[in-house]
This record gives sequence, C-alpha cells and structure tokens, in this order.
Amino acid sequence: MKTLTAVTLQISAILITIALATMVVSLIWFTPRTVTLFLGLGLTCGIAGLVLYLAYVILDLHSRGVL
Amino acid sequence: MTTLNLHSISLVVGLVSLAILVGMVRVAKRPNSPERHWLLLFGVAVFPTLSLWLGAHTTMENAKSPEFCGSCHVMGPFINDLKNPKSETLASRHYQNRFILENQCYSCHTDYTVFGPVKAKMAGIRHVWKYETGTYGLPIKLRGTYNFQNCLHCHGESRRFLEKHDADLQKQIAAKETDCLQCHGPVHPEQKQAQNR
Repeated sequence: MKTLTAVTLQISAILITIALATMVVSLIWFTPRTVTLFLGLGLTCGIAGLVLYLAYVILDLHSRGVL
Repeated sequence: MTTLNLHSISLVVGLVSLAILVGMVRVAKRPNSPERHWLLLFGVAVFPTLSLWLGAHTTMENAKSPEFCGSCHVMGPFINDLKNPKSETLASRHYQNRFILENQCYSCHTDYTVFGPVKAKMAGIRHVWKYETGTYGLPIKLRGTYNFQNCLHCHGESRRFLEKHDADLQKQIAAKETDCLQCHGPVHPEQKQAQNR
C-alpha cells in the first residue's frame, strides 16, 4: 500500500511537471506547434496529474486509517 | 494589464512553479508530518493548478491575434490580403478601416454564444493538427457554414444597417433565408489569386 501511494505521488508529480514544462516552452516559443503541445498534451497531463494527486491523498488517508 | 505583461507574468509564475515542483522531490522523501502534507499540497497541486490556469488563459488570449493565425503559411495570403491597400475584400476593409480594433480573425470567426469561444479554440487545435500532419486539402475551406449572426452582432443595431435594409430583408436575414454575402463581398480573396500574391 505504501509503495502504491508513493508511486501515485511520483506519477502525479511527473505529469504535472510535463504540463508545466510544455506551458513554459509554449510561452517562450509561441508558435502553433508549441501551443497545441501545451493545450493538447500539457493540459491533459496536468489534469491527469491532479486527479492522481487526489488519488494519492485518498490512498494516504486510507493507509493511515483516517478514511 | 497588457498582453505582454500577462505573458511575462505567466512565464515567471510557470518557472517558479516548476522550480517548486522539482524541490518537492526532497519534501516527498521526508517522513510523514503535517508540514510535509501541506508542502506537497501547495507544491504539487495548488501552485501548478494556478500556473496552468494562468498559462492556458494567456495562451488563449495570445492565440487570438491575426499574427498568430498567419503563422501557418497556408494563412499567409489571407493575412497579406488584410494589409493590402488595393484589396476590396470585406476582411481587408474591416481590418484597414479599423472597424475591428484587435483580434480581427477571431472576432469574425467566433460565435457570440456561450460555447462560441470554446468551439473556436477546439477548431484552432484541429487546424494546427491538420497543418502539422499535412492532412489538409487545398484550397482550404471553411468547415460547415458561416454563422452570419456574427456580422449582426456589430452591424445588426447600427443606424446604417437599419436604414439600408428594409424590414422584410431584416426578417429574411434573421430567419437565415438569405445572408450578407448575397449583396456584400467577397470576404476573402479567391485562393488561386491569393496564393499567387
């Protein structure tokens, strides 16, 4: 359970990092390609990352017997 | 706040969030404590969410400019036509006479409805996808039919429109039995002509 919780947090952080990285790239080189990369891939990763973070919070609370 | 300022702020906020997120690697290794949970909450969820929201908003705003539309080369002739002093197209007359002050492409090609901007952005992403994958055909065509209610959004209540269009014609336009291009136009240059420019 502890491993699953830790992995969930790691994947969440990686996905959000990808989202922020694509955002920074699109703001530095503002081209249709980078904008699509951010809005298409980046935002999807960001939302997935946040959902996983929520899952991490639930798993963490569950493992500590709060939930 | 100017677009440039918003752009710079979004970039700085994005870089700071990214740096904080990288710093969370150390925090995640700490033993469980309330402090660790708060740091993770703000570092992984709150700051990145705010940054991404700001970044998406800035990107959407910046992507409304004609310069951005013209950054795909297939749109070049249309953008050149806007600025061509000899052009008599509706688009160039609106652009050169400053009937629309900014975001000229976006203003006419976005429906003035609740989901109009969302539909326009989805269409924009589809355009870039087709452009990047080379799956578009020439001459490029408007997808579906143009919503002439967009013209009426500005012209509909103007004195000139009301004086020049009698009540019957106004009813026909409202009922979509006729459209603006029956009498006015062309909107954009013919594409063969446009591509030779």
